[in-house]
Amino acid sequence: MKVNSAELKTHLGKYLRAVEQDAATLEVCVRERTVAYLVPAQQGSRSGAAEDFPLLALKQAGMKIRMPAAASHGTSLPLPVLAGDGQVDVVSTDEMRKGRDW
Amino acid sequence: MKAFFDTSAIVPLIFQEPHSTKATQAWCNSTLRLGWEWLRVEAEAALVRRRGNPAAWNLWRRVEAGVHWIEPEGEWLDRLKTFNRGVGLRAADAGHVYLMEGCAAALPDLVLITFDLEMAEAAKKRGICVFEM
Repeated sequence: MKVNSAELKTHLGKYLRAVEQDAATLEVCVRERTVAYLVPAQQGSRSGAAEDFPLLALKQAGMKIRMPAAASHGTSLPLPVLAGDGQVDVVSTDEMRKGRDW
Repeated sequence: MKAFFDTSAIVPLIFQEPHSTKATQAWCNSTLRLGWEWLRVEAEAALVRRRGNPAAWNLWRRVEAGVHWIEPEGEWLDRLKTFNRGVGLRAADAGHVYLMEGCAAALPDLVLITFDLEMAEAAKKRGICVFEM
């Protein structure tokens, strides 16, 4: 079930009752982008929650999460570009890490 | 695939490098992308040091916008120090593996995406699932 944030704010009680009574998950959206899930208390803590609600599982494991800014989470990307030094055989991260061994 | 990205798998998405094809494959196959906040600093250092043009910076912003950025709650550096006494990685690399391990405890099917051989080796020894290069 999806709801936008303004609708949720106006009818919070109704949606909380629906989540509790129907054991349903509520998808909260801001401008068509999903920003949060509201889940029944028991469901959120059951085993297997990691599969359905990975971000919730991470938060329960003590992680702070900053959500992606992209509406579509950027699945497709343009091809990588040529670096300013013109080299394509450089592994940048190796170079950086080698340079700070100690 | 739920993926935890190391910097070595993010920079090749921006610059043409030997691991670009594999990194792109890992990115496209990921349904959830996680990364440590510090990765953003490392990636931008690579952009600066390799003189990335505006297209490279735009590409980086798209990548940055597609990742869930992770940091542990509370005081965690003491735990990281203790962790690395047994692992022996360079400081920031230990941070990536430590966070990956913490996230994998919550998400058992999480895969570490790294092209850093030393990091991959250390992660495998700890039972972490590593993307096959």
